[in-house]
Amino acid sequence: MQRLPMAAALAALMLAGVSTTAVQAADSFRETKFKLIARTNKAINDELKKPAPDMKAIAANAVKLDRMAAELPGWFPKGSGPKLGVKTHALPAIWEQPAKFAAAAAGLRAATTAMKTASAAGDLAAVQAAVPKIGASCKACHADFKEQD
Amino acid sequence: MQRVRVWDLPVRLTHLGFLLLIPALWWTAENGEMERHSQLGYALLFLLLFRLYWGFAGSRNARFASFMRGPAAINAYLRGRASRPVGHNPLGALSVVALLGLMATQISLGLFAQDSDGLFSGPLSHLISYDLSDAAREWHERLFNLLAALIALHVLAVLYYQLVKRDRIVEPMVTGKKRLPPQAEGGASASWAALTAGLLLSAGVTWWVSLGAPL
Repeated sequence: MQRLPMAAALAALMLAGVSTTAVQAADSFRETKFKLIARTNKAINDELKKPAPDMKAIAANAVKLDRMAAELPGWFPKGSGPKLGVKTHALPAIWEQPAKFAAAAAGLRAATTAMKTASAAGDLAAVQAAVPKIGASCKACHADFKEQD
Repeated sequence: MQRVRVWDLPVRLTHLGFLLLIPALWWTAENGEMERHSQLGYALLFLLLFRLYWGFAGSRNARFASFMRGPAAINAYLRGRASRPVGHNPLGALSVVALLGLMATQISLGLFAQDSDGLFSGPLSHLISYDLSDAAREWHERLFNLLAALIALHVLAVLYYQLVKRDRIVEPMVTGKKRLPPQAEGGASASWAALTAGLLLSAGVTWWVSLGAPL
C-alpha cells in the first residue's frame, strides 16, 4: 500500500525527466536550424558584397533558405516551450499566440520565396531588395517571440 | 601670465566628436538601430584615423612623440618631481593612448561583426567566417564595457584635476587656450597642408573600408 504512491512518484519523476530531455533536444535542434538560417543568410550576403556576385551560388542558398523557412513552424511542437527549467530563448508567447506566430513565420516564408524566385531568375536588383525584407521578418518575429540576451 | 593656444582645433574637434559619437553609438546599438549605428561607426572611424594621423603630423602637443613618456618620467611626475608640461602630462598620455587604442580595437571588431541572423554585418564581415564574425560581435559587445570603464576613469581624473588640484584643464580643451608664463610656447600650430592631407587620407580610407575593402 505504501509502495504504490512511491512508484507513482518515481514514474512521474522519470516522465518529467524524459520530457525535460525531449524539450532540451527540441530546443537545441531548432537552435542548430536557426544558426543554419543565419549561416545561409551570411553566404548570400557575402556573395552580394562581391563586385560580381555569383547568382548560381545565391540561388542555391535561397532554395535552402526557403525550405528552412517552410519547415520553421514545425520546429516548435506543442510542449517544447520554456518549462521544467530548460534554458531557451524561445518565449512562451510562441505557444500562447499560435496565430500570431504562424503569421510571423509566414512573413519570413514570403520573403524567402521572393528571394528564391529573384535569384532563380538571375535578377540581382530583386535579390538585393529581398535581403532587407528577410531581415525585417527575422527582427519582427524575434521582437515578440525570442528572449533577448 | 598670458593666454596661449595649447590645443589646436583638430585636436579639440576630434575630442568633441568622440564625446558625442560614443554615447550615440551605444544608444543605437542598444535600440537595434543598426543602420544608424554603422553610419555613426564610419564617422568615428574617420575621426579616429584622422586623430592617429594627427598624432604624427599635427601640432606639437597633438603628437604622440611629444607626450608619450617612459615609466621613469611617469614615476617622476607622480612624485611631483617633474615640471608641469604644457600639453598632456605623462600619466594623462597613458589615458590618451589607452582610449585611442581601445577605440581602434572596438571599431575594428565592429567592422567584422554580424548580428545573430547573419543579415546585418560590418563591411568587412565577408572576409571572415560565420563563427569568427559571431565572435567579433561578442567581443565588440564585451569590449564596450571596458571602454566605458576607461571613459569613466578619464572623466573622474579630469574632475580631480579640475576641482581638487585646481588645475583648470577643461577650459583649454574647449577654447584651446591655457594660462602660461610669458615665455611659454603653446605648441598648437600645424600646417594647412598636413591638415588637408590628413582629412583626405582619413576620408579615403573610411570610404574604402565602407565598400568592403576591395583590392
